[in-house]
Amino acid sequence: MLRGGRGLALLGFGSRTLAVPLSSLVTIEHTGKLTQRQESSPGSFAVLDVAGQHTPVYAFTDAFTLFDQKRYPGHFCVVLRVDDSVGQFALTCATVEQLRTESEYIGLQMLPDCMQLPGCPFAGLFMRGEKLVLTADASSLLGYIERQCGQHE
Amino acid sequence: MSEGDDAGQKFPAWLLTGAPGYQLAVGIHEVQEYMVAPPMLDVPLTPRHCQQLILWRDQFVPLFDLRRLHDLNLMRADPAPPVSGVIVLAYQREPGLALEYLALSLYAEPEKILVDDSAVVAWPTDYPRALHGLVRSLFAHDDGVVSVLDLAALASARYLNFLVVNGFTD
Repeated sequence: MLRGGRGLALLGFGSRTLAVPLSSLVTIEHTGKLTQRQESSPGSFAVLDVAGQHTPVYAFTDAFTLFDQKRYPGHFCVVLRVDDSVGQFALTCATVEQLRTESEYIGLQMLPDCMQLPGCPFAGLFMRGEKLVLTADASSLLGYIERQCGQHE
Repeated sequence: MSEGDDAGQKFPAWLLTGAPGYQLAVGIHEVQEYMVAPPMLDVPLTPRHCQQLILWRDQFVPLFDLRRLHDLNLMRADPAPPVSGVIVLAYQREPGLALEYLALSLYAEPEKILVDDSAVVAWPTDYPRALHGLVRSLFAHDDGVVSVLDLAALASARYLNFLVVNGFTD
């Protein structure tokens, strides 16, 4: 089960892989559990009921813009906790994988300063096989999503 | 100046074509490796002039394409010529700090030249504004103007901020 502990959860979106801290992961559900778009959360295309809490669900395209289609991309819905006061949100993805960083060297490097546009949620990167993995924490991702939603309103 | 004149001291340098019609010079010691077609990694949500990395000697190196800056002086060629290769350059943020690396897309093969320090010229009025903060000096070479680039400035967050604030990248 991919919950808690040290390490990263690897979320695969098409050709992209996003790594988030395992400690921010609340639960993983199948997208079959999603229900209709929640009007109160701009940019989200569905809602997931987790322990009585309505969690807005978002999805990213390959370019990390918000996916805005009725058909759910991916099979999994990963719920991430920002902190107790802000709450949680969910991302859909095609694959989810656990990476224990205490037992596996990943060669994490920081995203270079010259590539850090204001509001960019990514902090670091590493290679896993032939694929580039981008790291971000839940708070930065939610901030990025909210800014994207604001631009589309 | 005629070839016989030798008023200034001469230093070896590499002449690089960082964009069509834009030549720059870097010190011999700054050049690490020239590669014709290294594998490039796209990074989303990054500035348009620096959207890729190359994996060079087990480290990620940001790849700059100066032609992609929003500045008409650098966009003269249409359609854009193909990139001839990528050059990896070393720099230090400050003396005593470890070497860091960046890569530049080039639009012609690099050429070794001798820079005459008496050939320094004033800023042309039409010099690309996006590049002002990057250039240590300018010198005349083969009927053109060559910019001596400050690599640490190019790789800095401060320069990215300057580009964003002034609309030279997005």
